[in-house]
Order: sequence, then structure tokens, then C-alpha cells
Amino acid sequence: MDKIAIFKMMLEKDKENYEAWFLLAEEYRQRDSLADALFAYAKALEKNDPKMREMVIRGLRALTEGGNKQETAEGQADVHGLEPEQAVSLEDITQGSCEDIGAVILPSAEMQLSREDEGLNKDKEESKKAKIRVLEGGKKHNVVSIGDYLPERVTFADVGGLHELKKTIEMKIIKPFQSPGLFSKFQKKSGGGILLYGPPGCGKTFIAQAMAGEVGANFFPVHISEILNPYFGVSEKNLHHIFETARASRPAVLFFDEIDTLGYSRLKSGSDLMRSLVDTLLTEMQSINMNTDKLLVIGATNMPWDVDPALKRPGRFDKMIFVPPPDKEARKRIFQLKLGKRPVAGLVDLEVLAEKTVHYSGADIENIVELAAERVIDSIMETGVERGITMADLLEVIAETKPSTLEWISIVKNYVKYANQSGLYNEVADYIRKYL
Amino acid sequence: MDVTAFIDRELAVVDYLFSVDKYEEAVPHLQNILQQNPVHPQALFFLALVYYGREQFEETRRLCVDALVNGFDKEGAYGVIAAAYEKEYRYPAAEEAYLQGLQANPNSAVLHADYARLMMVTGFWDKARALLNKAMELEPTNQNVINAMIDFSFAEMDEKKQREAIQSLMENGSDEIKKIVKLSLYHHFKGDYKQAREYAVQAFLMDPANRNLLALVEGCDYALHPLFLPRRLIGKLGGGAVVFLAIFTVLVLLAALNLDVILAIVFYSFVALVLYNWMVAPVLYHLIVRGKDPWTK
Repeated sequence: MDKIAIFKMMLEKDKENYEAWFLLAEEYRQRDSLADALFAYAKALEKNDPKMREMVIRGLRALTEGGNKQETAEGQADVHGLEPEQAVSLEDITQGSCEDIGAVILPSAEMQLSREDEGLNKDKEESKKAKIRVLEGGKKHNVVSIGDYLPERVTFADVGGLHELKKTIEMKIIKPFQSPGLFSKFQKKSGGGILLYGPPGCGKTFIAQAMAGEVGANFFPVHISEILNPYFGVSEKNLHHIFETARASRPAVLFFDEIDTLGYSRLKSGSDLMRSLVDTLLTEMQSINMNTDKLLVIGATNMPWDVDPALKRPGRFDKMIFVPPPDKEARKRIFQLKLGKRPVAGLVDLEVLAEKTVHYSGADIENIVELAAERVIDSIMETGVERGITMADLLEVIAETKPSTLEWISIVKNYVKYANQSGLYNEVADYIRKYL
Repeated sequence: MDVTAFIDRELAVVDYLFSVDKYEEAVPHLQNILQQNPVHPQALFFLALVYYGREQFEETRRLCVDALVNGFDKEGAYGVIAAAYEKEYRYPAAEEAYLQGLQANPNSAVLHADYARLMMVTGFWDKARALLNKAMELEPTNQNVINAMIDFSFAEMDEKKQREAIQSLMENGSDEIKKIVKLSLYHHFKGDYKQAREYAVQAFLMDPANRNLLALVEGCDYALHPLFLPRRLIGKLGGGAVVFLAIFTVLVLLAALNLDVILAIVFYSFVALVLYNWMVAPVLYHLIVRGKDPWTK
């Protein structure tokens, strides 16, 4: 994500974040947007703070004299009370070149310049040292940055069908998150960890994004490769930093896709690294105060039985939500979406297509459209006559394919049959009884 | 980031994914490594393991050879090559690979144990026993060695050895599922199907995607069904062979005593029992259980 967009986003949340105005001005200056830079510097100057004034003056001087980047970095280092070689420029933060320093400075929310102006008069030298929170260890590329914030906000309006699921999420998660007061009155947690599970390709990630959109929170998708590091203890630190980053940008939704990888059952593996990562994850989740932290942690998995049982206990991922294969309405919507940008010939009856694709996942439907398109291209290559995708093409492909969700359903079916004493998978059992 | 650091990071991810049994998820990371260094021995070996999981044994062996050529540890690579041959029932080739591996590392307990398993499968019991003893001598707490020991004791139907090996697994094993499965099998072999089922269900609960565990649970259910009560009684009396011999003796005695009517009753009852146990009951079970199964309606 563009740095300017990041600062703008920060300013949308807090217009009085003068550090962000200053950083925005610096960015505009470096891009030679003089008018915008001047406006942002002026905004930064609204903070009645001598240090900020000094920083702005430096920036303005650089603006008029065409100061180079190095000068600015040195200037910032000075203001932050750091040696020039220790300084981490904004460029470093966002472009991931802080590895040598081994530190990542979080933007605005983590950067708290001292407000004690009186101290300036008492001890000028001391007052020059601005308080800046530096998260030690780890490397930039291991930490989810604000840049991972999704540029487009997705909401439930973008999720076709699945009304029951949306209603469940609305009641269990969104409303409590939006109005925690009522819940705290009844000593009830308003947020928490949510585990979305279901067959692959059925939109768990999209639903998590939509949840974040609904609660108006920043969305931080986390992948295992952002956490793992070959050096001892660094992976755990990276995981901790991810939570720290999300806290700094709250309200936030931290999304762990394939949580069964990170939170793999410790009963099933003897890996020491895996065990310590699960321990760290448990500690981090336990330490979230759901009522005040405004931090939702969502995990998604195709294999909920692989997730460590401790992660499914209260205080962690204590709400398990089954994301079923798309219903008829959702399937119609997916067909509509996937066919929308392709040439279609004749009448394509979405109703019929949806009826013929029961249990198909979103990914399966996408595959059907892909295969039908391939078929049409082959036919055009053979005959030389250009045409669009027809209903017949789609029906032929449907007849030749099978829903990929059936294998998953068959596994859960056996699980429910033999080992659902705790009732953990009742939702799936209901689904199977209803639709199979 | 420089190439070495990149490869180290990707390898750490792969290593982790392997430790949590997510082999397919490791493939993109392995491809990343091989893009940077197409002859990276460890990546080639990891990829060979992925292909082994996919049951593409030819490709598994090719990758192992590539890994070996590029300096990968011979013990590991030859072990996988041998296992791939074994899966294709190419036992002489598998033996050759084990021998090459052992030539490279004569003190590998795992190779000794795996080779012993091959000898056991092919009926060379004495050799299998000797190899297992050697493996136990080298590394008595190694999980592979203990597992081979358990399998051997099951095959030999030696209850004392079974108990000892399972005890050792409980103390030294880190994989809970394997421990529980072995316990289930132990009770199953003892004829204690109820206990065996309990363990099998516990294991299945932890890994429901494992079809072998499902088969184990279903096997216990099958054995525990009331339709098979006579079969269980026969088992308690010492098994089909013992009961057959006993009935045969009774029949001979009855014939010697000229008790023709009783002889006929016993004979026909025995035939009926045999037919019921091994023909009628299984068919009835299939009809009743499948008919009752809410999922197969």
C-alpha cells in the first residue's frame, strides 16, 4: 500500500495526529508535491510543540533548498535522540530494509513524542530525546505492516447468500464488538477469537474480510511465512510483534488463515518450534482484553480437528463457526460474477446452473467457468468462428466435474458419527442431515 | 535479502510445515528454494518426500538420487528410495537400497529397523529379528525402532514382547496418535475389542482424515456387534482352530460310541455355526448396519 495512503488512513482516524501530518508532509516533499507538502507541514505546526516546530522547519528548509533524503534522515535521527547511523527512515520502515538494525518502528500510533514542553526548559539536551517505541528483534519482512491493510473494504453486502451464516456472525460477533457496553454489563465478553471452519474454497477468508469491514476495523491477514524464522526464538518474537502491530492499529481484525498450521495440535507433533509457537499464540490470545483492546482474532481452517485443543478453549478461539458450501443464492451470485466479464452467448440461466451445482464451492464454480471458457477457446481455434460461452458449455462442464467439498464432508461425517461427543461439530451434522 | 538468507528462511518454513504434516503446503516454498538453487540437496530431498506422500514413487526416487548426487545425507536418501521400492513391492531393489544406506552409515538404527521390517514382510524372520536386535542395541529409544519392534511382536503374536515394546513407546514416543493406535491394536489382538475401540476412537478424534484409523474403528465395531457373539466366544475359547479340533474330537468320540443322533446334531450344529459365523453374520451385518447408517440412506 502507498505510504501516503497509509498516513491518510491514520489521519482519518485521528486528525490530531501531528506526527502523521509531519510524515505525510515529508512524503509529499520527497515526491515534489510542494503544495500538498506545505499544507501538511502547516497542519503539523498546529501542534504547539517546539520539537515539532523544529522538525517542520527542517522539512521546510529542505523543501526550499531541495534537501536530500539523507539530510532528512539525519535530521530525524537527531530529533529522535538517535545517532544518524541508528536512524530508521520511513523509507526503511515501509520498504523493509531495517534488517541490519533488527528493529521496526511502528508508524504514528507507536511513535509518541514527548509532550512535556516544560522539560525542554529544564533540560534542553534531555528534552531533545523524543520517546519513540522501538520493537526490537525480528525483521521487517516478518512483521505485518500497515501496508497489509486491505485497500478495499468488503462488507456482508458483498457476500452473496449465506443469510444464516451472516446472521450468526452478526449476532455473535459484530453486534457485541460494536456495542461492548451491554455485554460488559452482563460480565460477558464482547469479542474473542473466532474459528471459521469448513470445506476449502468456500469463502472463509472473504467472510473474515467482510467481518472486518462490518465492524470497521483494520484487517491484518497473517501467513505462517511471515512468522517463521530459522533463528531460535525469532519466530515467537515475530508472532508477538504481529499482535503488537494489530493492537497499535485497533480496532483491528487479525486473521490467521490455515490456523491449523500455526496452531497445530501439540498432541500430534513433537516439533519444539511448533510447541513454542502454539504456546506463544495461546499467551497472546489470553492476554487480549476483548472489551478494551478492540481486537478480533479470526482463524480459518479446513481441518479444525488439527487445531490444538487448548486453542479452542474459552478465552481463545471459543466461537466456532461453520462456513458451509455456498447456498443456491450464493452460487447464482458467484456464477454471475465469474461470467460477468466474459463473452456469453444466448441465455444463461443462473437459476439452473445454481440448481445443478449443489455442494460446489466457490472455487469449484470458478473452475467450471474457467473450463467452459477453455472449451470455447478450443472450439474457436478449431472452427475459426468466434462465439461466447453458452449454457450448454457450462452444463457439459458441470456434468464432468464433482464438488470438491464432498471429500471434506465425508471426513466430517465420519467424525460426527464416531467422535462428536462434545457436540463441537453439531452445525456440520445439521448441515449434512439437511442437505445430504 | 540475499539468496542464502532467503533460502534459510524458506527452509525454516518447509521444516516447520513438515513437522506439522502439511507436506503439500510446503511445495511452493520448496519451489522458491529450487528457483534460487536448483540443486539444493535438502530441498530436493524434501520434495522427494512430498512425492512419496503423493505415491509417485518413480519421481521420489529420482529426486532422492538428485539429492544424493548433490551431497545429501546417504542414510536418509537411501531409506526413502528403499521405502519407495517397498511400496511398489519391488523387494529386491528395496533391499539393495537399504544395503547401500547401511554401507554409508552402518550405525543407523532407523535403517536397521526399516530393513528388519522388509525382512519381516518377506518372511525372513531370523534376519528380521537379528536386524531389530541390532537396531535396539544402537538406539533403543528411537520411535521408528520401537514401532518396528511392536509390529514384529504383533506378527509373532508374542504378548510379552508386545507389552514391553508398547511400554517403551509410551515412555519414548512423542506422537500421541501412534501411541494410541498401538494400544488399540494391542487390545484388538488380545480380543478386547471394547478397549481397542475406545483407543481407536480417541485416535480417530485426533486425525479424522486418516482412513486407516476409520478402518480400525469400523473393524472394532464389526467385531463388537451382537451378530458376532458366537465368533467372539470362539475367540475366547482359543480361536477357530482350537474349536474345530475340539468339535472334531467330540465327533470322533460320538462316532466311536455309536451315538449317531447326537453325532448328527453336533455335526449339523457345527456346520450351521460355521455358515452363520463366516457367511450369514457378515451379510446380515452389512444389511443392518448400512441400513441403519443415517449417512448412507
